[in-house]
Amino acid sequence: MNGPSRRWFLGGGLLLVGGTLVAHAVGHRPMEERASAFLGSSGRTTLESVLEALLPDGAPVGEVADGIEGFLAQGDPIQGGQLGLALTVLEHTGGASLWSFSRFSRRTLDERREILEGWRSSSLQTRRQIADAMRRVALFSWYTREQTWAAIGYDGPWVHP
Amino acid sequence: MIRGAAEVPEGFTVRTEVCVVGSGAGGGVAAALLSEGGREVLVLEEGPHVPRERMTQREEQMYPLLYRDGGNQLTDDGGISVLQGRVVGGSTVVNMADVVGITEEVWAHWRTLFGCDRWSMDDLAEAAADCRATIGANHVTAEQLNRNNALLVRGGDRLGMRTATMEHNRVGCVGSGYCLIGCAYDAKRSVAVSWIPRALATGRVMVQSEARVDRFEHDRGRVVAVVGHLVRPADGAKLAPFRVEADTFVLAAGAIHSPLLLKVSGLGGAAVGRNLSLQPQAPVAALFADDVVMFRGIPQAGYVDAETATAEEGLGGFRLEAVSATPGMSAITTALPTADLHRFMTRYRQVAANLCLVPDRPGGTVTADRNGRPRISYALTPAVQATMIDAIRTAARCWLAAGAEGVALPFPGLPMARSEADLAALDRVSVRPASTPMISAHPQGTCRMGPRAGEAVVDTDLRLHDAPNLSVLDASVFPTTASSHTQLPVMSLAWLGARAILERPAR
Repeated sequence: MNGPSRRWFLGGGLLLVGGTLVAHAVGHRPMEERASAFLGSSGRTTLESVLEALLPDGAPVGEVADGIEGFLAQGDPIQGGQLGLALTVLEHTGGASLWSFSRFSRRTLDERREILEGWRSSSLQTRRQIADAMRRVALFSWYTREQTWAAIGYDGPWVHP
Repeated sequence: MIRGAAEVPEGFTVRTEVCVVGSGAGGGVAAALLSEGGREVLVLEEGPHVPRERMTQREEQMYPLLYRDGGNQLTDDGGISVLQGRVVGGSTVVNMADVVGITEEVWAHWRTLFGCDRWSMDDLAEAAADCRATIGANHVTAEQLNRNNALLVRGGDRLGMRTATMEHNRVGCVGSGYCLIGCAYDAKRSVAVSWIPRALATGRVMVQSEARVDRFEHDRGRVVAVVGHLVRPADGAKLAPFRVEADTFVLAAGAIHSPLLLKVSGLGGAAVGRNLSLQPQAPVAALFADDVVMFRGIPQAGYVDAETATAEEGLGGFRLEAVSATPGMSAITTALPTADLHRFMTRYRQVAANLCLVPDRPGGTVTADRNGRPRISYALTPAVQATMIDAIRTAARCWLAAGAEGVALPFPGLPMARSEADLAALDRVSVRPASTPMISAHPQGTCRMGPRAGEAVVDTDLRLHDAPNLSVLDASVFPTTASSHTQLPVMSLAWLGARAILERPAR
């Protein structure tokens, strides 16, 4: 993901970041936060709430999140920072409506699914970018796990170094 | 010799005759020809050297290792994933091994509209012949088509469209299907196993991998040195610095990073970074009642051809090419609602897929962001959007004609199309950034060639107008889209550009 650009801001990024600040001011603390080396506890909570919404029911979201964090910790810090920013914006604006400022991670599972699906077709480019980024991270992380392969009929690599 | 950063922990300062930046389709060819012509050559490659023993066929390991930004290089609106190799051999290590040349019409288009008349079609043919021989180009036979490719061709045939099989540079392919994440068998004759060994055989070439060039130093119309630093491949962390002085420089870092380097160096003039073509590609997936197993066999071997080529307009129309994808890539490029997608993936063995390739017009730009990274600005024109939707509709019709149960269209919110009537939904969609999954594997055109400085970055010998001892030998010099696949066009132009360098005195 490239860094936020002028077009990103014109496309709604500024509005969403502004919304983030408002949500910080009036929002509630998440009920449960897990320690996280890379994303911070709030980012980790959001990531798990995203994974829960995007992965099949019963998926081990904690394990998948651990894998994502491990990957981010070893990789390009700018990309990791951008994912962190996207999670922050989602957390503080994804659950907000005209009548409430509920954080994304405090929404019900069905609501989170609806929000993420809706953002994919949003007229706001920033929302589409964030929804797309979440989907990429979640689905790629899920379907590159060996544990998922038998269920989809993929027999895996031919070479095993 | 190929060496990595660990072998020169203190960095280095050297002088050589020719310094080549980039080791892909352009840089590899240049290194071979220039060394065969007697020049001493140092090749600088930002990525690592990854021999076949390290190709694990695991997506989560290979994308970060072999691709620029781990495969996450995006346009600034998030709309198109621009895939480029960052490894010794460049994008030829991770491409689909398609060999498609520049047609007479496109060559005539460049000659007449852009003044690129330095070389004749015969010159181009001579270059392409040597390139084809070096990379072992040959035609895929009908018997080699896997079921995915055969179904697409069958569908195209049933619709009365032009269909064909590809020319490719695989020799002794075992059909593992992992071309996009590196060939563990060296059957794909990438630059890393063809041109680089040919260059090394002269004894006059050194390849320094894990070496990122920061800028060129120049003085009074001549480039005098490149400076940069060695990098740790995993995270790009800066290691020791290096400096290379040379008489001649070749820039072959691709259509995104070549203009970036020129820009940060204050070279290239007003046109550098402009005229970007991305040749966007959108995926279409289909479900069949029985196994397709698209992920095995030669992934991209058959195609449906609706491309046009004229001397007046260059390349137009579209092309549908079968494609395979490993599970992670399949999932993120299929736009179905997430719950439907998981059901779709349970039938992964019955999935068929293709890419819709649309040659576009130059119009994007590459600039530097505040981190010194490329900012790729690109918007699909209404004409390209319309062609893309037409291509997607045609692909869906091909799959349905071949017997597909349904087709997953690359637009969020659209259900599977199960009949031609369902394709009416495409009348109401638009191709929007970060909504329709799109990739670009063929960025081109940001250091355009042409006779006039200001309008073009390099002259018709492919030398910088403002510093002629630097030649740009990669896809950035193409005035317009060269071909549906850039591997052979880049090699051919690099071959001609390297010969032009050899025609001049060494100093």
